[in-house]
Amino acid sequence: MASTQLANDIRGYGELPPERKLYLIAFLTALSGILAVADSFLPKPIPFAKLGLANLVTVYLIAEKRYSLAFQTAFYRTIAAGFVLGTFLSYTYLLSLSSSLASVGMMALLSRAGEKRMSEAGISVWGSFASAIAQGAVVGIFYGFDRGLLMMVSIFVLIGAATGFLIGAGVRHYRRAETVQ
Amino acid sequence: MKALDWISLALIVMAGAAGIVYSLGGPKGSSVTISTPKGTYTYSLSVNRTVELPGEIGNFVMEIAGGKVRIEKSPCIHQICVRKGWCSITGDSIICIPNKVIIKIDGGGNGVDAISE
Repeated sequence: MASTQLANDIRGYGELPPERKLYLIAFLTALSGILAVADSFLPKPIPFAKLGLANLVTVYLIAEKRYSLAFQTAFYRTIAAGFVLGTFLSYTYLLSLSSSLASVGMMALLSRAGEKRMSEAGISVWGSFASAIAQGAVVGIFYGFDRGLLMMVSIFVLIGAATGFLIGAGVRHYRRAETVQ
Repeated sequence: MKALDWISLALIVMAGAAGIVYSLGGPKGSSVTISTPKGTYTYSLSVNRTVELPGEIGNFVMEIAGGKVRIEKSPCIHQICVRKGWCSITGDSIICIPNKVIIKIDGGGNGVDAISE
C-alpha cells in the first residue's frame, strides 16, 4: 500500500503541493542514499567497481519520465552518501558526482528519444556506460590519459554493462509487477 | 526486452572488449631507460643481454631478450617488479619502489599517448 502511494506520488509529481514534493525528494534521496551506502559495503572485485544499487531509484524515476526528480535525487544522494562514507568533496566524491550526473543525463536523453524502442534495461546499460566514461574522464584530467586508464575504463564499461543490465531488468520487473496489481 | 536493448548491450560489451585489446597492444619499444639513484642507463631492446645494475638497496638483474625487458632478480621485499614480467610496449614501465628503480620503455616517439606523473 505504501509503495503504491509512493508510485502515485512519483507519477503525479507535477500536481503535488510544494511540501509534498519536498517530502518525496527527501524520501527518494534517503532511499537511494541508503542503497548507495549498502552498495559500498558489498565486496567488490576491483576498487570503485560497484553494483550501483542506488541506480534502482534513478532508473525507476527515468522510466517514469520524472527527469528533474531523477537529477535532484541523484545529486542529493551523492552528498548524503558522501557524508555517511566520509568522502564528501574528496576525489572519490568527485568521481561519484560526475558519474551519477553523466549517467542520469544519458538515461534522460535516451528515455526522451525512444522509450518505445528501448526498455529500462537498455537505458540503464547506457547509463552505466556514460558513468564509466565520466569516471575515466575525471581520472584522466587528474592523472593523465594513458593505456592504463583505457584499460581501467574498459573494465568498468564491461562490469557496468552487466550491472546496468541487471539493475534495469530489476526495475522493469518491478514496474511490470506494479502494473499487474 | 526489446531488440535495441540487446543491441545496446552487445555494442557496449564490444566497446569494452575493444578498449581492453587496444590498451594491451601498442607499438613495440626500441630502447629502455633505467633510472636509479646510482645513475641513469639506456639500453637498446634489439640486443639480448643480462645486466646487473645498482639500486638504492642493492643490485638487481635486468634481462633484455627478443625486444622485451624484465627484472629477473631484485633485492626488494615484495618482488612486484619481478612479477610484472616481460614488457615491450612503448610507454610501459617497470617500477621498483623499495629499490628506487624505474625502467621505462621508449619508442620512436609516436607511441606514447600521454605521460602521467
